[in-house]
Amino acid sequence: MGTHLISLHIKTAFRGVIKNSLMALASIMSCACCLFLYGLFMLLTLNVFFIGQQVQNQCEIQAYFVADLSQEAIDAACEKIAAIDNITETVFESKEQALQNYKAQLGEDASALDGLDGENFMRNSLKIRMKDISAVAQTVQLVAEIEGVEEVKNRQDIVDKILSINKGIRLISFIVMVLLTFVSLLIIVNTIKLSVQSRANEIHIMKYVGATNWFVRWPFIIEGLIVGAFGGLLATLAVTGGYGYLISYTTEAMDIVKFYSVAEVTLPLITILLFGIIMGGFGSFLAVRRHLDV
Amino acid sequence: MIEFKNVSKEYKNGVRALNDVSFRVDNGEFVFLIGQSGAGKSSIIKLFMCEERPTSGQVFVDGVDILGLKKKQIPFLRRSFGVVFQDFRLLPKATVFDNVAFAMQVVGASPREIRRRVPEVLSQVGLAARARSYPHQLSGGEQQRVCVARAIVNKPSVLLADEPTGNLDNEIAHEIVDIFNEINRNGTTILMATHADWIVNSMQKRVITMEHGRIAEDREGGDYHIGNASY
Repeated sequence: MGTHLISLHIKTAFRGVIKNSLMALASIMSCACCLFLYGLFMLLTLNVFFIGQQVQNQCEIQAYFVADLSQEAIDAACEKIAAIDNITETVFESKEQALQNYKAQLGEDASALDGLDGENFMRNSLKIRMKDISAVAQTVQLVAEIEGVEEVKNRQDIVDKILSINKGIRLISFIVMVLLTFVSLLIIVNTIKLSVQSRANEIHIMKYVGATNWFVRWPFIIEGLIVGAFGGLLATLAVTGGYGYLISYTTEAMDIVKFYSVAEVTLPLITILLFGIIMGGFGSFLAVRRHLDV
Repeated sequence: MIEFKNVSKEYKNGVRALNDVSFRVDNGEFVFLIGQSGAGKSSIIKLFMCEERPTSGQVFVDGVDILGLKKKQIPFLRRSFGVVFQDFRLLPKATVFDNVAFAMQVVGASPREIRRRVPEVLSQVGLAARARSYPHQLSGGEQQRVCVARAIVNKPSVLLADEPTGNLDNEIAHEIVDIFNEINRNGTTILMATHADWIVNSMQKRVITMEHGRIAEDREGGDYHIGNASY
């Protein structure tokens, strides 16, 4: 395609948008609404995954050391444990600390421990956090094999529950995301189809004077890209604004869970724009196709 | 040269529009195709344009059997024709200039060539002053003249006209036919389908009379009366 033909198609496309401004505006708004919902749900899904990850990271196992093990031996065991692949973080808890923590947990009932005559029945331990909690059984096995470790406590039931909830949420999010992508595609393509339909006569005239199919298609495809880009841009701005507000509000309201910041979701936000552009062009391509057979 | 050889056309709804039609139009001829509505005139134009395909027979344009053309080649065949329709078929949101320029853009003419040629053709059809107008701002006759300008801008060897005066009053119709006559004098072959017998009678050219999808008569000049459709 020569440069004057490219510039002709671009010019024709922009002229098409301007001359059919009402239809173009309707298409842009419809694209924007669709992509807004799409973007919003995409960010929601990303954050659900993120929160799931955070909950997983909170999950820990605890390795108890053999009573009367020397501090050097404990340190050596701790080092070996920390070196295990799946382990991200370890915190040592001496038996004195453990007793104090226990007393603090009991609160007013801590006096019940007075009868023990100061004897400490707690054990030195190491709290361990993992990268991947689905590999908890193997990690527990590895930790238990280290010399000096007497027992590894593992709340397998909680781990299983968290894993299954996360899996469920991911599956539902994935299905909804696929459905929403499909529905957005359908709505955008159909809106553009309507706009092209109103100009079917124009396409027929082009064909009668000897235009090739691609000569007819290009301006419409570029028009679709323009409509998609404007729709995508509006949606991206609305999602960015809305999400930014939501994040600042929820961060103030609760600090148990963290959400992705706006900067961290730049790429997904750009995806909304790209999705709009691609769908616009693709929609036009499909819409024109059915009128070309003249 | 354009030619029909034993062409029949039956539409999907069972209507037999053409029945074993054969004729040939040589370069530079001006031929009228007359007959009542449904006689098969428009089907002949559609078959030349490859808008429809015949059920049987052959259609030649400059010696090439156009039925052998692939879909991709059809636009290039259409460029060898100029076409004028009864209902004008102008791009409604493009100016007169752009409507005519469009036919040149399609064939890949340069912007410079377009700027030179379009005003030339517009003055040939008497519309130089209306270049910036839109179709809805023009009268029926003016719209048809834009259509003629678009049809001849690429200097086609053949001009096909399907009832070009059907929507015009007699005076305007005469103007259009005068333009056709001039185009023909410059060497363009013209095949014009019409049921305006007064035009046919005033021109005394070759006339092919169609009846129920068959050629009833094919001769030079004569006096014709096309049923109640005569003007």
